[in-house]
Amino acid sequence: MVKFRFVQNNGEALDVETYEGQSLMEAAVAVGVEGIDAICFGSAVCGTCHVYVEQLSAVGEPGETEETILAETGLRKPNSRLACQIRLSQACDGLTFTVAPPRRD
Amino acid sequence: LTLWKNLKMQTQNSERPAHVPPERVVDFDMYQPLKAGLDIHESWRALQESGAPDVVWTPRNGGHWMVLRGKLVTRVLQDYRAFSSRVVFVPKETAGAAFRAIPITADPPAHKAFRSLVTAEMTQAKVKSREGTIRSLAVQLIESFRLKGCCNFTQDFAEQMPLRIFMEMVDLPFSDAPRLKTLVDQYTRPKPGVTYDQVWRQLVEYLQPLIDERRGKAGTDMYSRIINGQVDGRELTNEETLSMTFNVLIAGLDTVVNFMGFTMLFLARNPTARHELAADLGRVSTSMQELLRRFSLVCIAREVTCDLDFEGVQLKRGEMMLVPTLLHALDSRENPDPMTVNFKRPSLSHSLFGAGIHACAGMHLARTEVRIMLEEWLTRIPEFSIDPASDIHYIGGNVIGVSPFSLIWDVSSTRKVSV
Repeated sequence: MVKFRFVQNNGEALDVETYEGQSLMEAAVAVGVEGIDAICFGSAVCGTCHVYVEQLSAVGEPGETEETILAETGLRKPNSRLACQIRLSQACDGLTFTVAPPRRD
Repeated sequence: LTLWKNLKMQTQNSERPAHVPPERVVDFDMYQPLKAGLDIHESWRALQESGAPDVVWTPRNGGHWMVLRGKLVTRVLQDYRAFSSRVVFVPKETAGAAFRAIPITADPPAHKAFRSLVTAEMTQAKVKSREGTIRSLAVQLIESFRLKGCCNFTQDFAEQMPLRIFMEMVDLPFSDAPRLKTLVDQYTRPKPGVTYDQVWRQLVEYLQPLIDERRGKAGTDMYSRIINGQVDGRELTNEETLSMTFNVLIAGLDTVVNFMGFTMLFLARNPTARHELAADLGRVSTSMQELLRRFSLVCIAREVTCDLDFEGVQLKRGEMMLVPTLLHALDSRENPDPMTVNFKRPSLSHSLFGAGIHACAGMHLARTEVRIMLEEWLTRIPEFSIDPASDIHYIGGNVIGVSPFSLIWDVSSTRKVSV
């Protein structure tokens, strides 16, 4: 089990304690995090599970495909990641993930 | 997704093509997976644990490939370039050719615009706004039989709840539900002598007037939004509209019904797990994940788009690849001790809702329906068991299932709770 926090689009924090092994996107969808629509469900093509990671070093930098999608969202920040590309492990324990605003396109 | 339960498949086995190595061949019929003495999930797992390679070929159902491991399930589903959704059922020539529904059988680039019309109506926020309606429906159904001490769980609850929620979402009267249910059943469980074309014509008879009536009007229900939706800057053709209204009609019904069946069968037989879940209903959306994993139930196929080296075998363009998503959940490489329901397992991994661009568009709704069922049922009827008169048997197919069964309980153990 791993514990972490989402800050949703509406500003509300949601603390989650869940199973490791799945992606951060799957964990967000399971508890109904506002703003994580995950339309392509893990293909890293839609950019609808975009989060800002409080401590990026804990989860690592985005890959090449992910980088392209993040750029396309127009909401890229230095600590952007797609939640579907973050595999949950103890490294995520205690982190805060702020859900990016909805894409405008 | 459809079941095609009673649709008799070609029984003649296909010849092994020369490029399929003999050691990759297993004799496995996805529509008849049951092995003596095992339940349906155990039967599928027996294939996975038989020592077979991770990618196998079976001569059944037209002859097709299958992936048996979780990593490969997600890999095939995410690689839409190599694995097309043009045909999603085996045998390719019969069940596969008969099933055409947008967006399930659409490929990129066309797929995205059609799917967006559906997902726009199924976002977390939209589902949340319906939660109150879903909850009162669940309560109403439970209260209709709570004091009787028994119910046919499948018919009185599982088949009612998703269909009624759907009727509400597309703004159709509840009084049409039986007719619609019959139509869907005829399509997904064809009766001998009734052709696919005949059933389709009956569906069109129901859907076409509704489409005509709502076209050009500003309705806010899901059907109106689809009917008046735009794809790539144009309106949908009538054929596309029929296909999409049909797709959303069938998409979430059998899957949710069958999942609820497996879940309640398990909880009725396992008081310890039931009590554990009931004791912490505040965490049910997380602990429920273990049930979603353990009772994964979909087997979907893909068509290979090009000659391809894949995990040590040669796939040929046009061949079918079956993706039993339930084997991801039951794979001990992904989930140690996979057959045990353990709400406290540290880690889990599954593909109940698929993966990639065709992942279940209704997943937020489906999760909400199951969660609310658990919350309301376990609060009101915490103690229940299987009616010994119920003959439990399992049904293979694109969505595996359990036959209708009844639950019984002591009325004095139930609780009336105000919403």
